[in-house]
Amino acid sequence: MDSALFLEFIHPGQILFGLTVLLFGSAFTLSLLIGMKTHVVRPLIGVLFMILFLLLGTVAIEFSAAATPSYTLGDFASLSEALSTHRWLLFELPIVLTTTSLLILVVYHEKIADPHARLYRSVVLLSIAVSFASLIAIIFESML
Amino acid sequence: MFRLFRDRIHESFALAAILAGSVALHVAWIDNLLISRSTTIAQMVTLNPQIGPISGLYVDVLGAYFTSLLIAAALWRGRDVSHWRDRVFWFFVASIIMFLLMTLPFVYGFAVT
Repeated sequence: MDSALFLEFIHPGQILFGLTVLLFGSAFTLSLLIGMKTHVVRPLIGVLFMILFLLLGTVAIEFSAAATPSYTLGDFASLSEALSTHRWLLFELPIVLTTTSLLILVVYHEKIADPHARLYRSVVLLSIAVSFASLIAIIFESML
Repeated sequence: MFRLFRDRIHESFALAAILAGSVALHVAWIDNLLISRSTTIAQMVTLNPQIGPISGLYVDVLGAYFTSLLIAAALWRGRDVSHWRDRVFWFFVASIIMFLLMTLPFVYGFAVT
């Protein structure tokens, strides 16, 4: 297929978003293991770094090509427009939560499995789970 | 930076990150509520007219995150913060719930006419 024709159907922001969802799937699986297998911490930090860059890239691409009323937060008339604004609010959640879990993992490294770090493990797990869920919610809202 | 964190656990920094995340989420929903209620505030936070107020909202949230991170990290630096753990954790959980609830269009757009 011609690449120009291909890009007419798939937006670069959508490709980055799709990759982010895939990586969040793996990050969620790895986060379930951090309490038992400490050698997953390093790959998890790498995956979270990539996710953060992809999230920021998606925002940069979408906002630089802003052509829809989705970013206006004005008086919306239709459900899809309201949900469009909601999607961009929801998109802040993975950015904030991924940064938080990344900083915790950079501080704790393999010591995240220690008994006293139970609360920090919970925060990492909760952050990744909520971020993943919010991305899934964005996908479903985009279908409406 | 990684070596610094590996030699000793800087729990205060990790806790400051959780607090910063919570503060940023609260700033996000409060900012969004103010934008939807007041056109003056909506105009104030519109950094890019093409994008609209959400451009300022993103900048506000990131600003709140890093400002609170720096303040909390500076205040707690080198201190035993174990007694803050539970309080900050539940504040974090509450901020996620509040953000999810208060950013629903029918909640922040609710008005009695």
